[in-house]
Amino acid sequence: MSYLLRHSWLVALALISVLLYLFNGSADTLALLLSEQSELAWQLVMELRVPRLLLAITAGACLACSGLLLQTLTGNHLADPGILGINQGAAIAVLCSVMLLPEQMLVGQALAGATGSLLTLAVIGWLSQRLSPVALILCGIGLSALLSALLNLLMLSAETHQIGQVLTWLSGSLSGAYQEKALWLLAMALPVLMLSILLALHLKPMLLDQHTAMALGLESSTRLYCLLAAGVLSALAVTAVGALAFIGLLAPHLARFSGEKTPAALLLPTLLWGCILCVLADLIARTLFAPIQLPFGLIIAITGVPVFIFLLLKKPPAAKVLS
Amino acid sequence: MTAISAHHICVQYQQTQVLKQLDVTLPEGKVTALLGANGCGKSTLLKALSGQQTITEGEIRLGQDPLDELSRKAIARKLAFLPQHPQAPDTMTVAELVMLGRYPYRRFLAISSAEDHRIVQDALVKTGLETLADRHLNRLSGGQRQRAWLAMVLAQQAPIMMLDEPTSFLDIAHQYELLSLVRQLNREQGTTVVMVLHDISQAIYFSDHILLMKQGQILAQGTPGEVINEHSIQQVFGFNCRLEQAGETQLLVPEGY
Repeated sequence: MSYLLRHSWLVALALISVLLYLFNGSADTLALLLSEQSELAWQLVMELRVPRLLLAITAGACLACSGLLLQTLTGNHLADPGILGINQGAAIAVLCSVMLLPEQMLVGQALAGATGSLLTLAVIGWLSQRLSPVALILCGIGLSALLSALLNLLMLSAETHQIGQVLTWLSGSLSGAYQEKALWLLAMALPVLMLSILLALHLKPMLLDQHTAMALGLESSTRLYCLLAAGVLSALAVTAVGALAFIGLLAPHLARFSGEKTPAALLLPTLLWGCILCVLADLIARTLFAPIQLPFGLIIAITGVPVFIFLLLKKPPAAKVLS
Repeated sequence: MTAISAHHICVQYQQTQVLKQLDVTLPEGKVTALLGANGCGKSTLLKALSGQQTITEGEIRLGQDPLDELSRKAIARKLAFLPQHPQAPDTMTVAELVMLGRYPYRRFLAISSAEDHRIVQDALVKTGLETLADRHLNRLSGGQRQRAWLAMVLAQQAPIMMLDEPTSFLDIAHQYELLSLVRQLNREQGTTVVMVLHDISQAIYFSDHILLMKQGQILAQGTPGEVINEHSIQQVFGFNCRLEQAGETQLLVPEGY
C-alpha cells in the first residue's frame, strides 16, 4: 500500500497531463463543450484527440518498459531500444516502402516499420545467443551505425518529398493518428506489457553479477524472454509513432529517482514517466506553433536531454558496471 | 554418503583443456578444501560442480540426480554457490541482499512470505549482521561485506555450500572469524561445505577432507593427515617447506629461501 501511496503523485501527474492534453489545442474544446456546439466538440475529442492520446500513451509505456528491461538485462543504465538498431532497421523499411509505393497509406508505412524492426530484432536475437549482454549492446551500437549509413545511402537516391515524409517519421510523430490504428496498437501492446510485468517480478537477481544470479537460480531462458519482450515492445512503439529515441533511456532514470531499486518496483514509475513524457511532449508539439505541428520526438529531445544531464549532475543513480 | 560425485569430467576453453578427466567425490556433511596453485582449475572445478560451467565430457551427479537434468532453481535449492568476486549495486542494503537468497523458493508472483523474512533474520543473526540489516553495502567494511554475502548463501538453506576463495581480501582475524563461522554451520546443521582456500594451515585446521589439484587434475584426495605432507606440497606448489605440528594444526616453515 505504501508503495502505491509513494507513487500517487505520479499517477496524479499522469491524469493531469491527460486532461491538459484532451482540452488544449488549436480548438478550445472545453469552451466548445460548454457551448451549443458540444456535439461537434465531442466529435473532435473522440475522433482526433483520444486516438492520438492513446497512441502517445502506448508508445510511451512500450518504450519505457523496453528500456527498463534492456537496462536490467545488460546491467547497464545506458541501454535503450534505440541503441540496439531497432529504430534504424524500421526507418530503412519505411523509406524503402515510400520509395517503392509513393501513393500508399500510412498503414503501409507502419507495417513496413514493424517488419523492419522485427527483422532487426531477429538479428539481435540470433546474436544474443552467442554474446554476453555487454557485447550485445556494443554489437547493437555497431548495428545501428551500419543501418544509419544504409539509411543515408537510400536517402541520397530518394526524391525530395519522400525524404520529408521519412524525416518526420524518423523524429517521432503522432500526426497520423486515427481510431483504428490506436485501438489496434493498444490491443497488441497490452498483452506484451502484462507479460513484461510478470517477467519483471522475477528479474531481481539480475541486479547482481551474472555468476551469482545464475547460482541463485535465474534460468538462462529468462534472459531470452526479457530480450524478446524488449524487442517486441520497441517494435510496437516504432509502429505507433515512428523512430522515437530517448524515452527508453529517460523514463527508467527518472523512475530511479523515486528511490525504488528492483526491476519490479521500478516498473510502475517507469511506465508512468514514459506516458507522461510522451503526452506532455506531444501537447507542446501541437500547441507551441499551432497550427503547425512539430514532430513530438524533437520536443522530447530538446527538453529531455538538458533535464537528463541536470539530474545526473545532481544525484547520479547508482551506476553498476559489469565486467 | 556422497553429496556430489563427478566421473571423468573434462572442461575445455577454446583449445585449452582446463579440467582433464577428473574424478571427484565430495563426502556429505563434511568440510572439503580445494587446494592448488593459481590457474590449476580450482574455480573451474567449482563452477562445473555447481552447474555453472558446461562440461565437454563426463557426468556429474548431485546426490542421485544427474546435474544437467536439473533446472537452475532446483540446483539452487540444493546447492548454494558464492563466486570469487560477487557484485551487487552499492545502494542495496544488507537485508535486500540476503533476501535474494530466497529467490530459488519464489513462486509465480514472487511475493516474499513471513517464513522468508524469518529465514533472512535468522541468517543475519548467525552472521552477526542483525544491527546492520538496513545499511548500504558500500558502507560496510570488507569483513562485514563478506559476511553479508555469506548470509545470502545461508538464506538459500541449501544442504551443500560452495565458496570460491571466501577469505581473499580479508585480514587474518576476519579470515579465521569467517572460517570458524563456516565450520560452526557445518557442525550445527550438517551442511556440506566445499571451499577453495589458499592457506594450507587453514585448510588443515578447518577441513575434514582435502582435494589437491595440479594442472587440471586431482593429485590426491583424503583427510588432511593423508594428503598433506612435504612431498605433496612440493609437487603441487613447487614450494620447499617443512611441516611442524603446532597445536591442532601444522605450520609450514619455508626452506631454502
